[in-house]
Amino acid sequence: MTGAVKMFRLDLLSMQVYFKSYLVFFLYPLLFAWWEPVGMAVMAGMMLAMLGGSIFSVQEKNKLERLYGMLSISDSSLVAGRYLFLLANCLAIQLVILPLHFAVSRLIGKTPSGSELLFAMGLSYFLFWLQCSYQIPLFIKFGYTKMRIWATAPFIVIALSSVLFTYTLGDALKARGPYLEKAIYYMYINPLQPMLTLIALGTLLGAVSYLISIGAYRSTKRR
Amino acid sequence: MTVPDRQEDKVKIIISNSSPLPIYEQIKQQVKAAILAGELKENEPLPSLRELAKDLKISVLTTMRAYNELEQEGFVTSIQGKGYYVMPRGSQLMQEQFLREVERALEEAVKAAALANISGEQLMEMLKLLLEVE
Amino acid sequence: MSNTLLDVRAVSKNYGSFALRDVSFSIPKGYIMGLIGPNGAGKTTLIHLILNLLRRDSGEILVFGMDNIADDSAIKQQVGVVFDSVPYVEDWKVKDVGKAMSLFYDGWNQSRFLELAEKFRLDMGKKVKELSRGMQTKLMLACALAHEAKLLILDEPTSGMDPVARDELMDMLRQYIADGEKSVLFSTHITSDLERAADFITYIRNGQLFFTGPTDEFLDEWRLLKGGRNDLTNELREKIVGLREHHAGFDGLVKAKDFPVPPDGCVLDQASIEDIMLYTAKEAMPS
Repeated sequence: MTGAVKMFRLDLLSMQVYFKSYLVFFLYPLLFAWWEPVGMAVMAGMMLAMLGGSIFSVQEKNKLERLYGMLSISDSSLVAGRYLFLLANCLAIQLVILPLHFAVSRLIGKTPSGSELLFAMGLSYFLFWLQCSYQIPLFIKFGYTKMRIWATAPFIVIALSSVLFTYTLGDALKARGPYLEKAIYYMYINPLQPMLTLIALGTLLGAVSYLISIGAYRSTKRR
Repeated sequence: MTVPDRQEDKVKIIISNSSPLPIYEQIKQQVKAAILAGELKENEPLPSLRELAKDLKISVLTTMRAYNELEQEGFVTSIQGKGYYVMPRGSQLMQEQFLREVERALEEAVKAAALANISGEQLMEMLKLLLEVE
Repeated sequence: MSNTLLDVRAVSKNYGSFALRDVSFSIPKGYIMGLIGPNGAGKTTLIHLILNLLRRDSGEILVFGMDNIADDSAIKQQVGVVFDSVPYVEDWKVKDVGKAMSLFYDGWNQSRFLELAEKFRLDMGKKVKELSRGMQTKLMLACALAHEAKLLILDEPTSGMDPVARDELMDMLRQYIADGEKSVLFSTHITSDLERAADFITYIRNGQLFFTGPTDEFLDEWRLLKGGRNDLTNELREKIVGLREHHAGFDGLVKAKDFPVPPDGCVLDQASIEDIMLYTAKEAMPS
């Protein structure tokens, strides 16, 4: 078993006892079933990233750096394991939320198409990495408590403003930008290419973030 | 946990906190006494260094010092990988040590006698009486 | 492999308002070394440096003959650590702790862990935060011993432990080194624990090495001098460390070699480790 997988399993064990905090994710399909899957995905992506902070919170609260420090594992494997864990979180939750959203939507008479759901998954994955690639190095370098606000604030702002945008400017755009509407329509119909692009972009962001995080982790030892 | 019965368990060593002597000296003295009294016989093994340290709750270096000095003084000899063994009583070094011990004890007696204003003849008498009792 | 399990050479670390300067000591295999010094002297910093939790500014640290940074992973397989507080998730149960540790140690012996847990009366189903301080320390010890560690490092393990638990711990440590192949580094400010168990002492003050060597040597170097106020000559004053004058007389620490016999009217006593620390702490010592 490589070091990264060991670390992944350790993170799993660390968060297992706090599993209840994950259950809130099952509420989303119930609350937002009336919403477009895309909108749901946006929210999911945001919340996933906020959930990602919890492993750092647990780490800081229990001062697990001392545990990590005494274990036989390289810095890069340790950070890789953490990324693996967060990624697994993202995938696992998406695999739960989106089918659930599908099921609940059907119940209330709205049936999202498969392609909409696919696109939503890709978007959610991308948004997850958009946030995490920015947050993780900060959490590693400065700790959870200090960075909590800085890490989530930008995205709450984005989330709120995109909701506003949809309701106020959305109509104006529709009038002005038939191309924009067509583009979004196009994405709904043929989600595969945009989805793959989003997945690739997201993964790229994650990879760059990983490299930065290794440096951040090493610098914490130079204190 | 029951302690298995072994040959080297027959020796008795007790550390006293109230004794003015350092611990390694106490160990030395008691081992020498045991040899003198015949409780520790020729070629018998001493308790292993580390076991003794553990049993007496003292540091390993302390027992090591005691054993090393006993070896230098000729009471025991160490065999690589096996431990420490009692030297034959007839060995010259041991005899010399015993002689010195006796000399020292006699010196103490002479000093004490002088302090108490006991004359040399009185001292000799006392010695003769004691020897008879022995 | 040589006989030295831990070799700290001229290690320095600047750490904000505090600095460790040029500290050197080593532990041969099969012995217990006590690391002593007042709080804030640098003991924990030193331990963190040895464990590569902090990066040193200069010097070398060799564990099992290997550089502690370059061979960090290999070294850590064989090092057991007991911190002054548990480095585990507080909501973990004892069995979860074992599970977590087992992931990382090739030499993890689960049955030994269970054996030790039973011996220490650790309830597998109890959460870490529900354990008393002493039990938490025993948990850390059980983990350290269950993976065949050759070097055991303990940072203030006995603060908060009752005398019975402390005695049990010291017995465990003696048992641990009994085969002559493993060593212990034990940092504490409860020096009575070390008095009869430590083979070596390393004394750190204000980030500097004050003494390192066999315990007996440390104790033989000093004596406690006590006398009446009139016995305190100026000449004597100069030789006394941590002089304390009171109504009934004076006391202080002196070098044994300066006083083969007590001066007139005075008494010379053995000094305990604690005595030496107390009196040397009272003044800035010239070397």
